[in-house]
Amino acid sequence: MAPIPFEVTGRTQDTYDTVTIELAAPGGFEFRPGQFNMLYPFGIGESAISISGDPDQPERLVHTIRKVGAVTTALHALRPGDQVGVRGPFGVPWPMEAAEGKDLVIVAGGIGIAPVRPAIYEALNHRERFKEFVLLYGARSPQDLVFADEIKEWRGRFDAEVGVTVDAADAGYRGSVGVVTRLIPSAPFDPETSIAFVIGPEIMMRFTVAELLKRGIAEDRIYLSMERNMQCAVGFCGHCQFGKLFVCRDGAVFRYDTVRGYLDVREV
Amino acid sequence: MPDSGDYAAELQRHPFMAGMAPELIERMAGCVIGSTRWEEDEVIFRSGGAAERCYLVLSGEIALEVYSPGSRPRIVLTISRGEVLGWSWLFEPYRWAFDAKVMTPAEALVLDGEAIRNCIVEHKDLGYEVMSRFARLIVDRLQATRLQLLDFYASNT
Repeated sequence: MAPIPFEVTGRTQDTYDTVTIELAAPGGFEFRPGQFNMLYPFGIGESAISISGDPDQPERLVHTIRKVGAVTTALHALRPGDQVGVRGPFGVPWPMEAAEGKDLVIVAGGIGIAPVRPAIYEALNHRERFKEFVLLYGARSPQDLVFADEIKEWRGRFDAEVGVTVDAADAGYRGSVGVVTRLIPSAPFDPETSIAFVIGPEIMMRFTVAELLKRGIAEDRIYLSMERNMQCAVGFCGHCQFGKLFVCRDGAVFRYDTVRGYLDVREV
Repeated sequence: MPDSGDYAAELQRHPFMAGMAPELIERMAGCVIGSTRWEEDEVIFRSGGAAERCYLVLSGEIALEVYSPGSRPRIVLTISRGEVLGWSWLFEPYRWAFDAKVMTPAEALVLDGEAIRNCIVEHKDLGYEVMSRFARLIVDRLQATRLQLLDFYASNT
């Protein structure tokens, strides 16, 4: 599958190291929340980047990129009018249909808010399909909160519970300070009828799952998005192998009870 | 605000007391001084001050801050509805370790620290319950602090 060139039509600086770029997709680019594309800044290399836009607006292909290496630095530098190669979409999406009629609890940490944003859009666009909607978001500091303005809008809705916390802040900050797991015990959802989507650094996900289990959500109703070094995106190269699974082909979204055994293994 | 005559009922509703036997709640109610309301930016206590009260937060948000000369204070943790503010009254030398400042108007049930200490020495069954709950609280906050120290959202982790 060869990359198809797309034109960059928009760029938003989200934080000091994170940008969101919008690509024109006049014919529409259908995807499901949780899927990713391989983005190719020509001549540099490919990187797996989750789609962070609204699935109900397929003509706008949106990705959010944090600058951490050579490829993401090149993607970070793209400006409107530039071209970028796209392969995709790949990967298993968040199980939105399974969450219908239930409380949907999303716990996101750091840049993890970007890959789960399409699921948030879908849930809020079709709010009547779900019971309670709970989003718990943790970041490093107030300056690291991605999509801060949009999250403020979501917090203003009467049909969504949105909790935000940061790990550290200067005095004068008016929000919650502490790890995201501390928001779980008092979050308004019914564990008996909830489905949870968890995304963030693996350590954060381990402790989040422990707290969700403590609240009473069953193991088979917790879904995680795993992050591994994905290169081919179609399950051939083996770079993203996770036990017997390939994160690119079998994930990146996994049901917790199918990967639980691997999470405690130091080297998989 | 709770009815002044019904502290036992108010204690029973607070998540920190969930599952405690009614007769032990009744004993704890004897340590309640009253309820209080704080306004935004009000300082509840300062580090080094005498720790004489235990607060069961009923509403609002409170910041625990640490002060360092020459730099801005940092927020260590925020405490909100259903949580406990302060355990320094439980351990010698009964001095607060941090500043507590109100972020959004808050209400709390106020318990007398010395009265609780005396009560749990006299009534061992209550003592076990109270110390178990504070041990759980301290373990949870220790674990949360370790996660904060890991700084796992940093780009190089």
